Amino acid sequence: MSRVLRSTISSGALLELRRQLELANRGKNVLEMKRDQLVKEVYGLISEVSKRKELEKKLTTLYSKIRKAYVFKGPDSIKSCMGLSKPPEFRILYKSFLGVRIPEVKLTSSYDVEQIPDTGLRELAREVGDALIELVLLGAKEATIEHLSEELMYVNRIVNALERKLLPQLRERIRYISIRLQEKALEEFVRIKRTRDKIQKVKKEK
Amino acid sequence: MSIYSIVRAHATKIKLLTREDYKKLAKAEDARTLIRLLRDTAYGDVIEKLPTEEPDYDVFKRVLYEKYLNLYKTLEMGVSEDYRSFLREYILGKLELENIRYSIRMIITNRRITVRNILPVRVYISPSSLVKVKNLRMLITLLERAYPSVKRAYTLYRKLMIPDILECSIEADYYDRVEKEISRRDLDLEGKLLDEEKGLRWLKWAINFKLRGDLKPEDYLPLLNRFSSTLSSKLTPSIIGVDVGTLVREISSIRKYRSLSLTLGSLISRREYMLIDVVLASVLHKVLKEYIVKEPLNVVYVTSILLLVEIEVRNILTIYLSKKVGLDWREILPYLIV
Repeated sequence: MSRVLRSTISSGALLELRRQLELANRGKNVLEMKRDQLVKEVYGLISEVSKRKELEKKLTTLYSKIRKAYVFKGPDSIKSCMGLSKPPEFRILYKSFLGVRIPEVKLTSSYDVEQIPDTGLRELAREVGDALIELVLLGAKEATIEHLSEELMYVNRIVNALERKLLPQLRERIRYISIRLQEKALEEFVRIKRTRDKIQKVKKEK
Repeated sequence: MSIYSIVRAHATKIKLLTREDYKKLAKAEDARTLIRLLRDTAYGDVIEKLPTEEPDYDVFKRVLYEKYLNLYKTLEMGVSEDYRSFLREYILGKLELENIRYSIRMIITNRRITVRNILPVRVYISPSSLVKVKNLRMLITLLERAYPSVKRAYTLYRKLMIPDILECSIEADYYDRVEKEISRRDLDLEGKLLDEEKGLRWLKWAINFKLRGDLKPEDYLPLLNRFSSTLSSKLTPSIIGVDVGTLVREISSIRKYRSLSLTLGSLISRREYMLIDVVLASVLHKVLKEYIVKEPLNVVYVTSILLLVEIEVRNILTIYLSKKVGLDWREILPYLIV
């Protein structure tokens, strides 16, 4: 780009610069559209992530319940019962959203607590399992927000660079070259006129 | 001949912890303070023998149960040969049941059973033989002579993959055996006590199976029917096709269980399933207390005291763990069987 900005003053260079300006404008518009889309997506996810506080409260309550269960049932019972539960399984896939690689967590098998013989512990394990699954899915959303925000920052930087630096520079260079070319054309015109006058004068003297 | 044991049981009764004692213990600052407070109770002699001021839970549990087993031995010595056999089946059998329950859960998850976690009790199955068990099939083979219905339960377990089936069947065998002992020796009061306990266990299993939702009645009804008791005979006809809330409401048709029905109903609606066991155990505790008031000169007094002391040991262990975990005393009180 800087090569163009330092280009010679010629109509070719002017045409090239105009082409560059048009390209930069179009690029800026596309990036602005991408930025808007990213913002929309991030805002959508933020409203979902705001459930985190609720979830944290739920986890605190569950932690207190777990402590009580541990105290009442005893460590042996807790250990032997909890071994009977099957932890949930997740599959992490990456998908592309506007060129951004974002994680997508899929629950392949849920938390199986059916083998736990104690009713109280079974229900507690179920509650804990559900909360943890929710936490993992929320974590994936938070990671998505992080990735999208990084991209948003990058896009913003480029749009700003285009808007505040490159486009004004291009416009300024185009204006400068246009003026210089006009001056050149005027000089040429004057020179031709003078040459024509000289030729006419010589013809008259003959 | 049982006079000696009854008198000893009376002496034990005086030392039983009261509601205020539990409150005092629960209010202890930490586990160390709790141990210090226990020095002034009936457990003082075993507390002195503890290796540290704040022992591991396993060590503490073992020490308390050793004390309990010593009491059992002392009381057992003074009763007739016949009654001794009943006590062995009923009291020690209950502890053996705990060992088996723990072993089943550990073996299903391919984990090792350690002597540390097993109570030093043998009625039919020795702790050393449980430790040697490597898989569930081996455990079933070991258990089937003493607990005959476990083999059939194992087949059902393999179909449903629910360990409750095995635990419930073993418990039913245990009660069958105790019942046989009772009817053989014509122990009327003990029979009534067992009837009460079986009824409550029936209710516990019925709630458990009902809460599973996807379990068909034909799978668990034969098991539940083995817990025949006054309570179960009144409720069995209404168990099919009703939800757990309705079942619990049905209990109120029996006058003495009206408050139990209300408490259970409230716990189920709040999904506080952990407290169901406490509530049911508290009902039995109340019955035992009534027995020691009404029958101070009968040998059933010995049985009641032994059961009450076992509940006391459980309560102390609960308080000890609560101190280790750092629970507030107000939080732990609902979990004590008093």
